[in-house]
Amino acid sequence: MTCEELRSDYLLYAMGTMAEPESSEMRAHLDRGCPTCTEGLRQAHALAYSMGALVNGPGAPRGLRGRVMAIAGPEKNRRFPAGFRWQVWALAAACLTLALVPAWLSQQQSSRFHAKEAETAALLDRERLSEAYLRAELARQAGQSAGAVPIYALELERGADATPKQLVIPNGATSIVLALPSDVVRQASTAELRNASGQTVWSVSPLPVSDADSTGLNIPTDRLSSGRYTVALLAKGQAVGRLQFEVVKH
Amino acid sequence: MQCAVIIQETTPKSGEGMFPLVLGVLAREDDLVIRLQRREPQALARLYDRHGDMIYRLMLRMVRDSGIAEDLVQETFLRAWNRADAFDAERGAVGPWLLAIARNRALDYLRARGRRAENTVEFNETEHPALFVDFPAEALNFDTARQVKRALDQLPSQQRQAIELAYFEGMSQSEIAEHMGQPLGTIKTWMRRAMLQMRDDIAAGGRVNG
Repeated sequence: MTCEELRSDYLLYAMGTMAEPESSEMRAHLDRGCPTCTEGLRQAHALAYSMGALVNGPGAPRGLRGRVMAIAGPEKNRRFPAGFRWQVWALAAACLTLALVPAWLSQQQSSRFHAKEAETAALLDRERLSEAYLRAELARQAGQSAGAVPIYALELERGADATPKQLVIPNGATSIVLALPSDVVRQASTAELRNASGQTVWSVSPLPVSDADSTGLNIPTDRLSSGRYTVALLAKGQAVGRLQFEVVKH
Repeated sequence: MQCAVIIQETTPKSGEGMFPLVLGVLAREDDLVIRLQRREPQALARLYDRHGDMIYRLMLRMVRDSGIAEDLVQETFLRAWNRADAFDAERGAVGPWLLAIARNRALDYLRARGRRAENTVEFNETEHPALFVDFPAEALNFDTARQVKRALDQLPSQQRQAIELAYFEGMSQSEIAEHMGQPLGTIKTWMRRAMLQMRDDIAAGGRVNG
């Protein structure tokens, strides 16, 4: 095809929606180093960019900045809302296939179960804006597992009436990882994953020890089926914290 | 951060011009990219502060779910963070590159959700920074933004819809034809006409403003 024939298709190509065989013809034409079409396509990219950048709507939620900054790992003096205190991304990036990052469970162990439950409830209430993420992309970038597939974030809202959001696990995902505050993990001796019937479907004891701010608990996805789950951290048989979520397996 | 002001006007040769845009570059982002490549968290913060809202709006427009949009924004910056080493700031601008990454993430999501056919075109090449030379976000503060918006607004509704389905939904022309109940040839004709009209409208705007 000639430059003249291709000219009106620059934007389609730039948007990646040009049909075959025209797309292959355009690519071959560009591969031959055509300066006219290269420049035209460059400008078409600018137009495509403009279309995206011109979209109206609300700005990003305030909390999103903190999520993005978590990518870069711990940053001194970073302030998260409501005691948001995890610093886990570096850990997850380093070792995990899929990372589920809860940002709660921060209290000291109490000798009395009911007092502990009350403290936990109060803590969760304060931190109800905290979020947990499933970070497949981050894990995929770590690139260590053939099972890594794109998956999107899980955001957990806690509170008495909060409904756990779904954790979608697509085919090929081999594991999820809970990244928990290490100071809480150190207080517990066992972690249990319970299904909706209260059956323990996975557990680990002793818990891994980490000098990092966060400690990862790797849960094989073959232990999970669609449904609700609770992960409980236990110390001397008593829960020092729980995380609920709903799994959807594809 | 190194800052510079570059205003470039591309003047089309007669009969050759595609989109003669007035390009404004308020701040070169070379230094920002270098700092990203050094894994400086503050560089990521600056990148987000500069482009986060724009990326979020596009994601929200594409996936229509604020939670998913947030996730995709995070995915976008994660990808940029991890790919910064491959980015050549001398050859490309960060904003368009970032937006292309974001759009690709959204299209991946739409495809995974079945809102987009599996056989549509892959977009990896659009993430190549060399294709985004001199097209930073700041350009949209100038005449370019108004010209593009005006050009889009002036398109016949069906042509505009076809363009928007391609851009925001990632539909191929065949999918657009099916979606709009029109023959594929008609869609191709509409989209080509739309491209040409936008080119002419933007060119006219550029001359007015120039």
